[in-house]
Amino acid sequence: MNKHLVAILLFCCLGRLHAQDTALQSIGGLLDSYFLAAETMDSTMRFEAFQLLFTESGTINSVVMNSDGSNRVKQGNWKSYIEKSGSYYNRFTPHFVEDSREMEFYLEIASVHCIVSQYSAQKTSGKKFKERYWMQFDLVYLANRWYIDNVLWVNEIQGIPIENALLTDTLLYSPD
Amino acid sequence: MNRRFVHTAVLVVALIYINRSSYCQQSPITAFDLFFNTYEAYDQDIESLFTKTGRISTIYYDTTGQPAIQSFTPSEYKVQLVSIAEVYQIERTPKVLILREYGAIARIYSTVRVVFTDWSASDVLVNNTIQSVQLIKTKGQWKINHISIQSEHPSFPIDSKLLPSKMAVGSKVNNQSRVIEKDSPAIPDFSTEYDPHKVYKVNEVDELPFYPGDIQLFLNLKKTYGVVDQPTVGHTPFIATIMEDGLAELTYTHDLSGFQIAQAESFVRSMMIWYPALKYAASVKCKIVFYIRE
Repeated sequence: MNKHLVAILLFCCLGRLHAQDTALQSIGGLLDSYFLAAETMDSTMRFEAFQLLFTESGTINSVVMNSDGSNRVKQGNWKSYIEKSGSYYNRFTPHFVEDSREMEFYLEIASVHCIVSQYSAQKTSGKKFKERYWMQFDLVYLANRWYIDNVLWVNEIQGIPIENALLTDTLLYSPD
Repeated sequence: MNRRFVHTAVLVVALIYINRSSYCQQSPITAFDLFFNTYEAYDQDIESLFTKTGRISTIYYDTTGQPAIQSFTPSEYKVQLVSIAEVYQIERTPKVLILREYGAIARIYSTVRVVFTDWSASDVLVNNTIQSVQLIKTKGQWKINHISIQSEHPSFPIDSKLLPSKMAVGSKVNNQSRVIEKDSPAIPDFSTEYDPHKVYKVNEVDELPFYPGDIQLFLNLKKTYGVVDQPTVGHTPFIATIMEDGLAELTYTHDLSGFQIAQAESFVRSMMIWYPALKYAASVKCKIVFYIRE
């Protein structure tokens, strides 16, 4: 009986790991996993989820634009981000919705641009706050799956739609 | 009088420097431009162009051909540059840039052609790369926060929009002070058959075998075993053949002593998997002559 139970549990775990590996073989699967990880409330589980998604030297950076045009930059590796973001998770429950995505990639590297709405529900009052971001992901394809090597985001500035971030200028820098 | 003159001169130079550096980093493009200009001047302060946690990530391929990532701080990257500059003159030319910018962050996804010219033998190695550069405006100045670098694989050419066809052929040219650039036809010419059994000489193939990853790793490998590319006094020639699958084999050692054969075998075994030579868009065997220390 016990042997059967162990076998079933092992089978379930292997199945889950396989599904996770398969998901991380696509850029979409990796980003979905990232947003799910960022919504994880338990810090230990969040750490484990990020550990699965990031390279060893992976970094997370953010820029907060103030209404007067000034900004604050926060930088660090993903481990320090988890430590420093603890107070936010103590007060809010986040939910992320990816509104649009563009990307450039070549072989083992990809640069992905997402417009993301972040909904933060305040635990004490139940109030919901919405912020929109342009998130840039630097991805690398190693050992048959994608990893996040770097994330950077900036919040929407009042009066300037965040969708403008996806407008591109293509410059022929040094034509022959 | 002299002291006042010196004081004024120092002040003027300092002002020019401050003005130049702040001017150059007032837009993402100028910050990007300054980095590439600085690259050629190895004694310049690369670190100041990056944010405090700035990083450069390069993709290379290990001995089994699997991709791996190497991450450098700007200081470590500069050490690499200085080391390579001892052997090669390095020239980097951004080709096409795709810029996105919003608020205080920007991204430049670009093709950059890197040309290494051997100081002594005038060998030229051309390497097209994709470099994705992330920038942050901090304290009024744009600085680089992260760069991802991937070299072009001969079998997977970079999109023609990012690399106009005239520059799409990266080639290593031995003993010639020129870079092969040709207009690549949209469809490769398969009309002439290649010989799959023939071991081609380097001057018979369309594209030479190309050693993957960081060039410094290959330079270090050659240095470890006392191997050089050119005929040199005190060195004996031997031949390594790069097979169609990129594996290197030691194929001619007749002039070598027993010790040299052992060294040459270790040298070839330590090589990563090459990008093989191409003939009519097909991978072919190609022999390369090396010279090992006596």
